Amino acid sequence: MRKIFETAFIVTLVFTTKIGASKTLANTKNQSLPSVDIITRSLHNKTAYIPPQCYTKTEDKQGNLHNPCFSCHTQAKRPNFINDSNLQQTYRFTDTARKNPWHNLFKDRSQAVAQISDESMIQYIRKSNYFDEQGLIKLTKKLNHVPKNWDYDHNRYWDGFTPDVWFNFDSEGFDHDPEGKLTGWRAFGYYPYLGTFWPTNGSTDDVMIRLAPAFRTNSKGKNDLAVYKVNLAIIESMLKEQDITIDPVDEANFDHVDLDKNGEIGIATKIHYDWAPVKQRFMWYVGQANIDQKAGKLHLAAGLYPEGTEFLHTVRYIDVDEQGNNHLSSRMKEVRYARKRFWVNYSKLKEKALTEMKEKNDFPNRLRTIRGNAEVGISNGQGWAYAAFIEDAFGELRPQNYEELVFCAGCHSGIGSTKDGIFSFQRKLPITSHQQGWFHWSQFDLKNIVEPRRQDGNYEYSHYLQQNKSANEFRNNREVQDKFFDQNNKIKPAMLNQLHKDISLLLYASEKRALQLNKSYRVIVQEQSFTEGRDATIIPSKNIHKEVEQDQSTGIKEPIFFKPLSIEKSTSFIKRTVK
Amino acid sequence: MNPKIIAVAIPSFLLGLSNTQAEDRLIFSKAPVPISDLDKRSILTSQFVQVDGVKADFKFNSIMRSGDNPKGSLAPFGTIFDIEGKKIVAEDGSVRVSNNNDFSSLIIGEDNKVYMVSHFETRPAAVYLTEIDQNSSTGKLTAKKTRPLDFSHVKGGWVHCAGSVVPWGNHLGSEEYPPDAKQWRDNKIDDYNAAMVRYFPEARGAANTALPGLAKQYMNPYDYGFSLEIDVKDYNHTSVVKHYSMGRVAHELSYVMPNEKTVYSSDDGSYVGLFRFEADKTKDLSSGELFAAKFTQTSPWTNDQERIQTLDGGAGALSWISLGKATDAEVRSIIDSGITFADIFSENTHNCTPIMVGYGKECLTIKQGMEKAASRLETRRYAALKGATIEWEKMEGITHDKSTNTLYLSISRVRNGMSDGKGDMSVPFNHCGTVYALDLDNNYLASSIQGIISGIPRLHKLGAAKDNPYSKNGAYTANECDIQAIAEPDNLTFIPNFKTLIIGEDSGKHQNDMIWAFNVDSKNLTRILTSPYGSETTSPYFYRNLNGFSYLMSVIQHPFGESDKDALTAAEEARGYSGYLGPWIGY
Repeated sequence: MRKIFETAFIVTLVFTTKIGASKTLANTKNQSLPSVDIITRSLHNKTAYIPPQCYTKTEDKQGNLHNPCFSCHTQAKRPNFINDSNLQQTYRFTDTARKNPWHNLFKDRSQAVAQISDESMIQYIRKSNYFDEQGLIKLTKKLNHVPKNWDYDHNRYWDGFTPDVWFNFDSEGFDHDPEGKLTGWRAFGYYPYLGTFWPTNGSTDDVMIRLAPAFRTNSKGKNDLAVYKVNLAIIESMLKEQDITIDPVDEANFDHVDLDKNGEIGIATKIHYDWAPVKQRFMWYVGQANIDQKAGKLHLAAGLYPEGTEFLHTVRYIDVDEQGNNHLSSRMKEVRYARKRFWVNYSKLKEKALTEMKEKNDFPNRLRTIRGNAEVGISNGQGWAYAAFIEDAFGELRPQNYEELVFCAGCHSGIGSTKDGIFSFQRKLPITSHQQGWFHWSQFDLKNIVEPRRQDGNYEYSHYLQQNKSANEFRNNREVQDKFFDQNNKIKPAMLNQLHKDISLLLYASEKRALQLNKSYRVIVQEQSFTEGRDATIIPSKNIHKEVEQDQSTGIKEPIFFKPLSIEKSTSFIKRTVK
Repeated sequence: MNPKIIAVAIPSFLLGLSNTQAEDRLIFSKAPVPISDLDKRSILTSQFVQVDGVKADFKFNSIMRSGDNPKGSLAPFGTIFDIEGKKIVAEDGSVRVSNNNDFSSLIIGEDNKVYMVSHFETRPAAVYLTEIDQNSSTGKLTAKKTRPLDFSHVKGGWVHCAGSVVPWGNHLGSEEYPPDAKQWRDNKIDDYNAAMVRYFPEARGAANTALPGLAKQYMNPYDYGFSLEIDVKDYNHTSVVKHYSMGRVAHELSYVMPNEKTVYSSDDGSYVGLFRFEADKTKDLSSGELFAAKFTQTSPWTNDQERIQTLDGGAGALSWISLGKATDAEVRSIIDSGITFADIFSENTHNCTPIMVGYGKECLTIKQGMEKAASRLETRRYAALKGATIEWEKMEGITHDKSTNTLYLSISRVRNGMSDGKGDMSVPFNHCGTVYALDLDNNYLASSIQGIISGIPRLHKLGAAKDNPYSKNGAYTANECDIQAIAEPDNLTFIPNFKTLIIGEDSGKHQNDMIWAFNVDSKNLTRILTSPYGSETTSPYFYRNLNGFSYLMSVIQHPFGESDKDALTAAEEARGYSGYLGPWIGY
């Protein structure tokens, strides 16, 4: 396979090129293909917020224990007040959830997969469903005249998020529209999260962040990129709770905020993390956000994003180039969006956690009520709304319905390992990496990125492989198994040594595997059966429970802890020559 | 109809009406079942109530929401304070304010003013005293100012749940789900219990992960789990007393009988008991004898694998096992001695007695000389060791009808120990719950209990003979208990002279919690309120003739989204409402 694009410039070119005049998977206009009710609020799976990974069999036939659970369920650091590390030890499901509702995991798709040719699959994933042939965003056009069957509240207006990123990133990761104007979106590279989000397990992805206009505006009310960059660095510092190196700036031009906290207003080369409001040690945003923060309209706290922060996360198929590198496919599986709608302070978060603890204690079988709908998204109960688009049976993006969105809440709330509901930004690559970590995965790839270390010094991915003895929760990744484990399921130390130097060794899928994963997901798309699971599996999964007993033990005796990464202090990133 | 007109039409001296044709004299129009999304996010009530032929508007009126701060108040309603009277401040400088208002009573102070005493169901907990302005012509209740009551002399308050008003006018509150003292013995204190240590200055500014260790050192689990009596003299003068003599269980609430001596206490949770206290003196709950109920089943024995057509809750006879006498002072001094679980019980020793009382299977022996300590500090465990029936499930509301001398008791879910085919009790399994009636004698002693109204499960797994779910695409699809019947009954209150039992729900099986009016004679069941989905209606309580007006107090907890079109509301939308339905003029 050939890598289809490397820079945003090429992306635009590709989209203006006509692809595949022959019959492709995407233009199989078969009216009998299934469609889903987008505006329904009824749940076919009442516990859609419990992801399929939670049903993994932690004990194998030989009695060996596998613990992938710790990557989500752990003793969190404030202001995530959840301590769910006991879920590593017990399948603590409500009665309703004891039967595994993710039926797709148990389907045999070998035949359906065999019917898809390699060529048509490659063609399919290389055709964008985000841009049209004029290079315009398809959804923007469509949502401007919202189809009736997408309009949840029947007001003939799309009240939710309209995709507005152009995937046209500059050398600092900023996105530009076709006229060259900044869209506010800034892409960043990150260490892909443990397990499911490694390309070898099914998908490639990217993440972009955008702060509210006040963070992009100086105190005179003008758009100001320097102000925006400093504010992003401040937020990175608040999320990582450590100093962040920045390009030298004169603090006098930034509302006289002592960014490096050296006691003087002068040239600062870092954001110094020193935040303890109870001890009168404050940190401040700059520009209009500084004014708004002082007025109490915007807030700052460690581990929390300010009001109006947005994330965009696209999930893609795996495109593989001739060197075997994995890339984002042009076609998007999903466009996922999050917006922080309001501030929830530490006390409220604590109170909420205490209330939930009491609720679980009093009513262990009661289900979560997730608020929201397909249009505005669903709430994670902590200030964020999550909304998303996914492929319809023809491969075009459509809004995800309520149940498909409830699925988001399972990971973006109620677990110990997120920071303010988010997985990626605290894992942003360090200053020593390409473009200081501010780049899009279409600009650089995972090749030669050195393995990150946890704050306890352990290599993170190696530690996961050792705990889980597999590359994912379902233990169905034969390729990694063969590469990293011997016949007795013992990890190969030599492979770990190589992994320390280059994570792509673990994270990349081979061309063959990528094709299989792409095809099996394509079948789910054709079926539109996302509510039964989105995982790219071909044969029925053996390592997943179909049903668990009430409070069934996982066999894991002592929980282990997910640890944040030690990023800025580490020298673990080898800077490569920019392509 | 304008309430003002009714005020003229029915003066407040219309009291003590006869009991004839009771079902015709108090009529609520039916509150609708919410169908649209907007209705499901709203508080819907009966449109009107008709008392003796006179119609009046019927709606929910809010008195206070958590976080409200009327001028002259000491702190926003629900602000949590520590033992030194300092606000509990998080690392980001934010102040802890609880959204979990629960039972709120209306009390007349010695100064003849109206006060509201409000529980906050968290830990550390709070009870707020609010001075109320009662409009003399409309009866409308408005908050004037509010302040937290000082609990420092009793080491703070814990998860204040439901409550009642005693015949002599004081507020009788509760502490639910007390911490299991065994966790202190084993040094395995969970986060749920450890949260209380924030009440003490030693935990100020401590990291969350340090709390279990601090709780072990600075918090005594035996300080919590009691009934508490609050006497309001005026806004500035109140007294707060924990009645240690009445025992330590997961008090949903305690309810005093008209003899001013007999008190029934409900115990919330799985594998719990029913308790009765006989005070030595009237109007004084500080000393007396405690009893636990023994149930002897009289209805057919069933088990939860069977499916019974008539889910009537079953019936049985009650006898009472004495747990001994004690005074508040005696128990307080036992607590102050620093007594621990290990001082009271030995576990898994030779000749130990196996029990299961909500803490899994245990085998315990009471150590010599520890009977009194066990009876008041480990009441449920002690009652089980003495042979009482500790098999009840989710025991919630209690109320009393004077005219028939009947006590009503709600069981949210008839399952687990109540229907497992083992022990003293095995009545028809019904996840939708039952309200029971207990017949009392002249001494207010309950001798029998039988179900009087039950929920109707739609699904086999909840107790239905066969699955009969609501249509998948219909508006009722999220309801697993029938919407024309109660589901998981919680708090109860009785409207005297009108034969009307008010039943509140705290249910996950109705999409919207409901409040019902049930005429115990005619058996008419009328839905009078539905709360926004995801919220709970707690602690309905009827106040008759409070200066000429009657009120049905109620609290709506976690009321997200009632005004927000897209249901993704701001955090403050979660603030609970303390308020009332009504008022009825006169009566």
